[in-house]
Amino acid sequence: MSGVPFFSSMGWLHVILGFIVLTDLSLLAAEHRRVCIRLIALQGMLLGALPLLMHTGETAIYPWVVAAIFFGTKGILLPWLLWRTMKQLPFSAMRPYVGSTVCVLIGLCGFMLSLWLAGRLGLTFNALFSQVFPTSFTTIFAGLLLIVTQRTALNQIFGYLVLENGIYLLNVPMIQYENLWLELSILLDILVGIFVMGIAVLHIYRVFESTDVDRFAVLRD
Amino acid sequence: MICILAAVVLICCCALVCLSCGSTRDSGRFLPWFIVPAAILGLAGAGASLWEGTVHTVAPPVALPLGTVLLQLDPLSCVFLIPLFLLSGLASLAAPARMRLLADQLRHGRHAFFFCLLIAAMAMVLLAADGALFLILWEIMSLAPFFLLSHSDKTGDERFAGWIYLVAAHLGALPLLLLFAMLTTEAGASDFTSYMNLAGHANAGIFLILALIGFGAKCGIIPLHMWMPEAHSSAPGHVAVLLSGTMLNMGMYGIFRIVSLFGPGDPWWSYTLMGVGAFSGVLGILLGAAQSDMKRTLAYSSAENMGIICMALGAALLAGRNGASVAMALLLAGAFLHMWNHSLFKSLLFLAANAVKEGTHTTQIQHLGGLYKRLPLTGGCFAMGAAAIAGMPPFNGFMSEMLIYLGFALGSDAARGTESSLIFWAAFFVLGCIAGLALFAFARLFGLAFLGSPRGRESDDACEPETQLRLIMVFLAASCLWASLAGPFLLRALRIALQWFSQTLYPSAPLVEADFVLGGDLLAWYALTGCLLLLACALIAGGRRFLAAKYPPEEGITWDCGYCRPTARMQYSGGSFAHSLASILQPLIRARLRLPRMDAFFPSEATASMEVADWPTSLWNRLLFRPVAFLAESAKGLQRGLVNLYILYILAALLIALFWALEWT
Repeated sequence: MSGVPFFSSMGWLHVILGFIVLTDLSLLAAEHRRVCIRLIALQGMLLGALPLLMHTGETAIYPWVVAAIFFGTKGILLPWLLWRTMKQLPFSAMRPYVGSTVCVLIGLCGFMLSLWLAGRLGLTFNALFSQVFPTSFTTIFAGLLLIVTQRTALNQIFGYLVLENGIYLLNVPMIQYENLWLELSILLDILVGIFVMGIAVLHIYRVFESTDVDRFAVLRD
Repeated sequence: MICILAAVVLICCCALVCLSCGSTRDSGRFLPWFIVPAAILGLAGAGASLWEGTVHTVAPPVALPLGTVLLQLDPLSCVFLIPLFLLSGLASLAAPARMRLLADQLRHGRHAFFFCLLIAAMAMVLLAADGALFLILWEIMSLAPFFLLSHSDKTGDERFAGWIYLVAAHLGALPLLLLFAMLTTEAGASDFTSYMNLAGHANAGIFLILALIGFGAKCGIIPLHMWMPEAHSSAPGHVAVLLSGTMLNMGMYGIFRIVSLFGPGDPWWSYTLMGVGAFSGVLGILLGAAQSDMKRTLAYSSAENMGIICMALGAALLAGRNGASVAMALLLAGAFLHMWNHSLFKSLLFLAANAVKEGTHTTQIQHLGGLYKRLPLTGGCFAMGAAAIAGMPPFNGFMSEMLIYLGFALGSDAARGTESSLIFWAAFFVLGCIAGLALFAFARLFGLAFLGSPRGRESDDACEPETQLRLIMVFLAASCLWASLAGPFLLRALRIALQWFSQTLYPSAPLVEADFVLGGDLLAWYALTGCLLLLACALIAGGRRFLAAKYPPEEGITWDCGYCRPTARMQYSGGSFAHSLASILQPLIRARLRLPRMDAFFPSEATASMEVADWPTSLWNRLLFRPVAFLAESAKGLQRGLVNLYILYILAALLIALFWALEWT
């Protein structure tokens, strides 16, 4: 970060990216669903603000529209949906397969791996992309880790959301070309997925009286 | 060519008609209406082509993903097309009644569809002159019998037969896939003419080995025969005719085709073919001789006959190498004629065994006995088939074997002073052993099932099959006899094909007409002797009838062994008959004997039994199937039903792929 003025847009970008990594690690360490949802909301808001910092194109309105859409969906709509589902479920405590300390350590390893990969891959075609890549990969890794380590279906949804945030982050540099349709389509998929899963989680809870995914093992052939 | 393609089209039409009829209606009745004319067309086309020795090629402008649609009718295809069309016609005549008997287990439309598909695919395999096309048709041909065998999945045995067939068919297809992939890569094109340029290729030996494994599995050469006893014993009669009479020939066709493309190869090609053939021949008939099920004995004897053909082919290559053209002519003629003869008598035997099964609901020898009195026509036909397969004059089995014997002897004479001479004599000796064992096996099978007294209630209620099947059996039995008397004619029909085949092997010194004179003379003498023998038999039978009318015979139990009040239970059983052979050849048969202990002065009821396990299959089980099953079972542990774990697998796979990609860049 040396050489970048702190209060320039690039400086703010680095700050936000740093915060995103912190939210990833906090999510891995979180022990309550409420905290998780708040952290996801925070991450969504931070991600939603990114298009404003990265846009260098000509249309002035474009970044604001995109930022509003992503801020609204990632920062408000999806967390609100999760909050509503959570309210209908009885227990709030997370019971992961792997303890939070180990999770954070693995997450840190993922972060280091991302930094190494960013150097190794030599992503020179887009300056912004190479800056965003380590954070993005860390977020994808954290999302996958959340999915793998969590026992309940709802907590796995958090993982999917974080995973999607990582993919979104890879796409944000495309804002320079005013082309985020791919990301929007992925977001739509995830949104539908969350709706379906949210409904499914409630149904699963009613049938199994639990949302533990290991109970689903009885459904295998 | 046009006739054969028209026949195939007709058979395909029949398949579609049967399928469109669905399972509710009696679709089997359409089979003879389409397939018999198709068979006549095909026979006429193949027969004319064989007689003239012409080669026709058709290349429709249709592209395949990896090859071209190239069809060729050459003399080698014609030799194999003739039994195919003949037996398809007969099987289709027998099919409707068989399907009606299995009405509650069968989906008629589906069964008839796959029946037609199998015939059409076999005919097309024989015409295919392109590697990719050949493989596609081969796969269709291999898959169709699975649906014919698994028509009824009610009993475990039938399910097992279907599955083991499917597994064996796919295992057999793997080496062929590799073979044709190698050939196409090396030759740069996938048509057989391009393959011929690889004749002296460094890998030609590997081609032969792959072909022997792939095609050998189809023609049931031991130890690649594991599907055959199960499939043949559970198949209905008309399907068994197609499987044993024609589909085994397809495997043999593959071996002949590969030899014609890349032959004659090094001397070890001959030794390998002869060794494989001898092993399959001896072991096939040994295992068959000790089976307790009629159809299983017949299935094992197919392995024996395929072994004889393989041995004759290997010996022909060796004779050709030594310059013994007369021996080569005799051996090749013997191999082709034996293939034809085997198709005839094996179909007859399977149909007769099927008639026994329909009449008695069992093919277990220990429940049969005395069937000749109840099923005189089936018994008579079975006796003729058994005499033919056991190599008894005047039937056709000995006719082809005689040519092979003489070929071995002449080949040995031509190779005097070299190690080949010994190999020819060894082959002669092995063929003699096989013939002797076959005689034992079929004397046992016929004697126990048809002679003596009924061992169970099953035999008491037996009745003859319907007229159509009886006519087919009589036709086949008459064909067996006709073939032996028409030897010179058959040799004349085959002569051009044999010359063509020898020219592909030894272009500089192909067989000439003079090489066939000895074989022709021999067959003419055989036919004459056969006629005299038949005349003698007729005279003896007439005399016996005359005497029987004059002095009415006294009826008693066969083989009373000196007991004053013998019962049916005192007769030889399957196990006791084969016991002496099994005890002499224990290392090869590996029979397990269970004898009761009799310590007391007045022993109570006890049973003794002999079990013959198919030890080559057990060996496969131990070396290949069980380890694979263990691995597959262990892999099931990966499927825990946990979403987390599945995503972990994806994560791990992605990371591995990422690092692997980074390593390569």
